[in-house]
Amino acid sequence: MSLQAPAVLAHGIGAVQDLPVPAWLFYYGAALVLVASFVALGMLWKEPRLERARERPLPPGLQRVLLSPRLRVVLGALSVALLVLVLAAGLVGDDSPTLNLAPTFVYVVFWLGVPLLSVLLGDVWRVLDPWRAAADAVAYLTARAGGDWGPPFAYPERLGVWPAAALLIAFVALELAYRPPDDPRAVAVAALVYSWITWSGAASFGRRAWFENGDGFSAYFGLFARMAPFGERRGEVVVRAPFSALAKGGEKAGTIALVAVVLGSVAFDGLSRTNWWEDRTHTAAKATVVSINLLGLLGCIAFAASTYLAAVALARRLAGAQTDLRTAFLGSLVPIGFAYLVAHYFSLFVLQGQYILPLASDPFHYGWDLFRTKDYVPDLTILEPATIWYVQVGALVVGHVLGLVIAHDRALSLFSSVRSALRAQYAMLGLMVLYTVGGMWILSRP
Amino acid sequence: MRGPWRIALLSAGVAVGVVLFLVLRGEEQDGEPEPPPPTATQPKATTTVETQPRPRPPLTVRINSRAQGLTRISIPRGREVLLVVSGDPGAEIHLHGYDVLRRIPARGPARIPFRATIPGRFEVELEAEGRQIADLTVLP
Repeated sequence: MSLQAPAVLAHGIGAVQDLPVPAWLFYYGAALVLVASFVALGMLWKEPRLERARERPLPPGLQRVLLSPRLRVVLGALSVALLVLVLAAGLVGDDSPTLNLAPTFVYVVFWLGVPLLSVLLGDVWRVLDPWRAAADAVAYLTARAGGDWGPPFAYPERLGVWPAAALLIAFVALELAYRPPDDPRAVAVAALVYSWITWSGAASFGRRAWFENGDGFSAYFGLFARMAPFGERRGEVVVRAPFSALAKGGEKAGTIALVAVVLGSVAFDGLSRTNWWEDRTHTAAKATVVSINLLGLLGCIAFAASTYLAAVALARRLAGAQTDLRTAFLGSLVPIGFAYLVAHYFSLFVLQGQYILPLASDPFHYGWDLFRTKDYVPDLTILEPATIWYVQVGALVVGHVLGLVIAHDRALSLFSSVRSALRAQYAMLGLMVLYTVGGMWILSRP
Repeated sequence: MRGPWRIALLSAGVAVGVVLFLVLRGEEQDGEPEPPPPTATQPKATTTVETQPRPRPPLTVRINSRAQGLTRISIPRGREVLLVVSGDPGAEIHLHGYDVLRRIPARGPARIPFRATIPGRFEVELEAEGRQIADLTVLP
């Protein structure tokens, strides 16, 4: 039995799509956003707090375990093995998206699971990244064999994270614009191309330079890791106030593109699921659909970037600031981006995520039963629609408030007077209300 | 801003939020269809018979796979549904989520009976072409 990929399916994979948020809840959520905004403006502190929040190292015993080379090697070996398994499944396993491990692993476990882990635990991708682990292993073996492999090029600093943003756009284009996105072969080929680019980048510019700047997934997960209460400083694992790492600024060039990809891609995911979009793309030929989707996706990313730049320009004028503020408030959009992710993908993670049990036992659909979970039947009724709606609206409201708090802290540390800081913040507040209410509105469209 | 003001502002915000929630939520609940009145007027002896849920006939939904555009169907949750798909003989129909596959026979339509237990939006598609022919919504 060969199950072909669905034709008009949003977000990569998934058997069930969410029902639209009911109108009453949309109005309630929007009202809550406005009320929360004004309450926040009235209540917020007058000295930057997050920016000055202290970081404390974890106890030395725990540090030793977390940073031990042995743990790194074990996790790295596991993740390289998983990468090989996913590639193999995608290339030679069953060509049905629901019977092959690769699509569900990539779009659900990896693409949604790692951001969640990053928000909770910090930059775990640094030890889970199979590409980095493989590159480290090659470097280690080369050094042991007496070789000296210096990178031939120096990474141009002005490039910043722009290559990472471009790679991420390529990934979300596969997930949201390409048809069918959950074709196991397409997923495997994309992973091969990504591997080639990553290892070429690491070999050309050095591992450190590439994984800290050019690598798409490292940059993406690293963004969410800044929300976490754990971080790394001078080789130590530290505990810090959650979100404080977002209030410190010092963004690399191209971070705006990165943030715009997070917001724009999820917005397009919502837009492409509406009846309006479906009706316009339903009867078109595949190449046309993919082109229209790609334009829509790039349009959403451009919209996110341009509205941010407009708000920053307005903030600068209102506060009478002389300095360039373009990267100053980017950190405040990260919680909003994460809230978008939760709102759009929470149900997918819980419902489609269950399929990983049967797929893990039989990744190629060859009839194996490695973990005796082959016949596990996922329960698609465990989430009531009302639960999904409350999580969606709740996530957006919480993300909005967090964004406001971070923007406020940034404004206080950037401007000498509280008055200028508040004025600059009006523009950011307007932007965040637009993003949050707009995000909710998209979720409420049938 | 001093302490008392902050608290006043915060409580005002919370109060506005709660009132809005109740008002907007109330509207929605009023709009919900009332359950049929129980047979309270019936004599007690007959209630055991009366409260037996009468088997409702399945909702029959017809789709033509050759129709232009996307057919959109909404079904209340819990109902028995009979999906009748006509059009391309030999084509395999896939109802996502419920994961039912059925081929359209050479003569007559494909009949897919199922109970609408999972709420959400689901695709009905022509499997081989990967073309969606209908969008089935199971309302909560």
